[in-house]
Amino acid sequence: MNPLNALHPLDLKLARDMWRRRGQVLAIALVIGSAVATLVMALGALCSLYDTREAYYERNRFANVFVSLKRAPDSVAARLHDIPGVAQVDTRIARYVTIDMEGVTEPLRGLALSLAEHNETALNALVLKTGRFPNPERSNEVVVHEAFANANHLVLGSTFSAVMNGRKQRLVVTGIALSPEHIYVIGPGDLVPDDRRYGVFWMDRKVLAGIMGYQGAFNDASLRVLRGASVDDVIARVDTLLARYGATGAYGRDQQISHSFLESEFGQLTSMASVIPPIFLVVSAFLLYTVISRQIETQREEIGLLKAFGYSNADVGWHFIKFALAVAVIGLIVGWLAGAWFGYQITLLYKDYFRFPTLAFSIAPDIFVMSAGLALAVSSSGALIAVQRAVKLTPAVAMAPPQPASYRASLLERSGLLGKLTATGYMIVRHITRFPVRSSMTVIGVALSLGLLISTLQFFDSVTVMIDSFFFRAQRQDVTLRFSELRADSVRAEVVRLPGVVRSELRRVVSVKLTHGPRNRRVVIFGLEPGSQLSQQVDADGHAVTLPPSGLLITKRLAGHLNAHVGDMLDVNVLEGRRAQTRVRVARIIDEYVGLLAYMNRDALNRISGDGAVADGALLQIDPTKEDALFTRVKTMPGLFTISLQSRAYRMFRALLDQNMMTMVWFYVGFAAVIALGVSYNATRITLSERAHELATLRVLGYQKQEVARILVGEVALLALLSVPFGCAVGYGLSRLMIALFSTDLYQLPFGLAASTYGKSTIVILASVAISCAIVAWRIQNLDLVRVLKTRD
Amino acid sequence: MDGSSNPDTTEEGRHVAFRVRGLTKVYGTGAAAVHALRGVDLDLHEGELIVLLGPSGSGKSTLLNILGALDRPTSGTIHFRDRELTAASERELTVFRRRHVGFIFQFYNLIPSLTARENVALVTELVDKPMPPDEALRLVGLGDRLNHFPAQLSGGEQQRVAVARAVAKRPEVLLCDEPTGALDSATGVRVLEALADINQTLGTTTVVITHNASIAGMADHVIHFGNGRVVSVETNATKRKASELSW
Repeated sequence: MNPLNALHPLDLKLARDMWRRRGQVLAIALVIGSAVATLVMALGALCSLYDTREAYYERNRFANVFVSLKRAPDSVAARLHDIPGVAQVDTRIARYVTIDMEGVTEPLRGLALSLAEHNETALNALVLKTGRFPNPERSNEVVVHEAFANANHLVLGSTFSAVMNGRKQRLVVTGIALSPEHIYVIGPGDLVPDDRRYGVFWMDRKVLAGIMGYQGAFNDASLRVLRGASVDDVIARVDTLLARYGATGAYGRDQQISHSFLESEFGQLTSMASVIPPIFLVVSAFLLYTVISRQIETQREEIGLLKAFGYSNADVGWHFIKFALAVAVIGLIVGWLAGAWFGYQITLLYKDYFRFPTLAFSIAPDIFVMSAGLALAVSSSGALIAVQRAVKLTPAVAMAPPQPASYRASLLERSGLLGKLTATGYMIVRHITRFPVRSSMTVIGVALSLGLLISTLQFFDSVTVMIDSFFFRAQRQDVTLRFSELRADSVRAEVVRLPGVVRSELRRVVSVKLTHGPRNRRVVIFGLEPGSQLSQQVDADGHAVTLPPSGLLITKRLAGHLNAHVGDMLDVNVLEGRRAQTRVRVARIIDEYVGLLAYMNRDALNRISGDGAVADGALLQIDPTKEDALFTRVKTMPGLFTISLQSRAYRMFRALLDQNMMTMVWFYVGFAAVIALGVSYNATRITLSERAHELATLRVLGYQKQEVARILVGEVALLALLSVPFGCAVGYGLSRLMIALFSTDLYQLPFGLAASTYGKSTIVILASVAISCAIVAWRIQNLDLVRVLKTRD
Repeated sequence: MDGSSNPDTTEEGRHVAFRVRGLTKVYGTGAAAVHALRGVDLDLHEGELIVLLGPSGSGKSTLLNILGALDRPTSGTIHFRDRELTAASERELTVFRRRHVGFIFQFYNLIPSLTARENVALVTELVDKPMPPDEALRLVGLGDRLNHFPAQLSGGEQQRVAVARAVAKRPEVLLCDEPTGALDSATGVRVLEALADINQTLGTTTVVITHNASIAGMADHVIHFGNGRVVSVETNATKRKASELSW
């Protein structure tokens, strides 16, 4: 027995209606599926990351407050613990070092951290992946972070050297570990992770103290705050307590670098889940509305018959709503599967730069429930509007043939703007103007897909502007040197003598708290040499800004946070050294996209910090042929803290963006194409259904197939062309929105939508429209000329 | 005019427009096969007005569709003048319809989004030396309805627009399938007058399908159809004027 026979006849009709309209059903299901897939992927990834992180933080006691200082005796730890609201305090020694890896000419950078005595109870406890913790009796044993170990092929027993406190130490790897503090491992001043060039490693506290000269003292502390206690209060008290020990200002998780990178990723996933799916769902509701309206139009007689048999309005309405729900269910299944697959893929991507002990993609049941609820609700709302018409039909009216379609010359035509058209031209124009709502919905649908595509592809433009601004203007140096201590300006002579140095500029970086009225922000001020060639700032109009003798240049985003304008006076609390306090005028607002930055004349900065003519680093322009000689020399240069290479930073940044963005961009290009395909396929299909009679008549009159196809396609093509300017406008607005949503304090995406992006997006969307038109136009082949002439339209 | 072999010209010197030999048409296969035409031989001469009479399902519409290149026979041949239509490609058949054939249907088949004039222009845009649309519409008595849309015209007026559309390209052949089927008697007569007028003035070979035996009086020949075959052929010694008909 055919299982279909078990169905109610109306459900059988539903199944057959769906099969007959399978192209449209599939197109709409794909649009719904795209919405669901985005939701499942973004929310699934978000929840997976979030839950994994929270569990990791909880299990390994990730601290709430962090502080670095110059040096404090161990006894200060007890006073930190006495601060109200503090649950646990761990102190340690933390120093950046230069690493010398065998076979690598350029110097690498590392962060050497002392291990807690009892990892099981310590804050920020390590997860030992393999090996063991160092033996306190041996002075050369280290545990290295997995990211650095993998990138440099370090295994248990491998060795490398580090310049620590001016002495080269040979170190042996005894363990490989992960840390909740370093889920996202990024070197100071770096834009993106570079696991090969920067690594974290841990040593026994006594051993590290011995090497660094920190016996009985510490220079870094982490605090765990009691649930319910105010983190801000604790920070304020820590700052007061540690001020005399050269602390640079305590901060919470929000400014902890690994944590804030994760937060910005969460923000982007949230943005994705909130911007994209609504667009798709609105489009799918509209598509269902048009398909079901057309079904009701063609099934008038059947509807009348059903009502005459005694089916209620609700029965008839429910029958059509079931059509929408069935399409939504297909969309849901497609979306769930695709979303799970995309989510799995994106999690693989995350594993490359978020270092969790385990990270599995999982989708919580409530994400399924929510996406199902949304898809079903939106689909049935589209159907409900259409169904009202079926409900209103009385049986007698429904069974009579519909009134002949009445047309008139549109306003546009009568205005004479169109000039003289051919008869087929009038057919196209009048069909569009006779169904203004549907035509405009098609325009809006295609415009939305175009807008979505533009706003996706503009990320490339944005990044180009960002890279241009950062690497080729703000940071033009080839190499950045950082000294481990402040050095008098006389260090310049030493720097100039380094091999291959073509140009050098000294710089000073000072941690400060800037306050303007009720708002404040912890930032660093970069002190540059007047007339600096290696670091240039520009204003919002792109004009180069000359560094004024005094006063601050601050970035637009920082100005926004502080609500500061040119001419405003800011309170500056220096968070290091003498901890001077002063007021400085905002000289200019500049456009820069990485971090929250302030710039100042180095002499002026030295004056406010009260340290005299000093520098903590240098920007170098070098002769590339002498790079190796320079590296060899600086590896042994006393007092050098780190060296970073601009070219390497650029390559890494580009690679990360390309990897991440290409994945996302293809994803979105696919989505935008799905909308364009869905909307235009549906529009063409409905036009064909409405005009099959007319088109067959034209064929009978002697029109060739392609001439008839031109009329069919012409209408959708015209609507698609009309949607281009709207789509560009939507793209502009959506780009602005995306830029705002995807910008964080770590990165701000500049707005730099290029003309070519409009062009490329338009080509992709029009190509999608063309494909769907071609599929429908193919059906012209099958027009039954004879049958159509025997039936009334 | 009969079902047997005829000379190429009639006694009035008229050439054969359509030569039909052994025409069959079967829809479907096996048990469900429907034999619409079961071997039809016919010669239709130029300039004649022929009426095809017969009950529903007798095969007359199938013949008309095949004559108009809307459908292909299962076997047999059709020549239009010297050209064998049964050997032509799809594209060539379209060109044949475009150049030589005018159609008129029971349900008018006007394009509702086009005015009367534009409906006619739809056809005149396709051919080389058409009648101007206005002239074609004046010919059927609609000179004052040029800019009306189909929904603004009565049934008879709509059918006359269809006639104007069919004749505006000055076709050699006019094929009419129940042209008065949807019209009342008085309106139908006006449409038939227009058809007879065109047959007279333009010399268009005109084939009219109808159920309506009273229309047969205006034809040169009347071909009776039954069960897919030509049952008989009558020739009217004197043709009646369309205005004399009623039903």
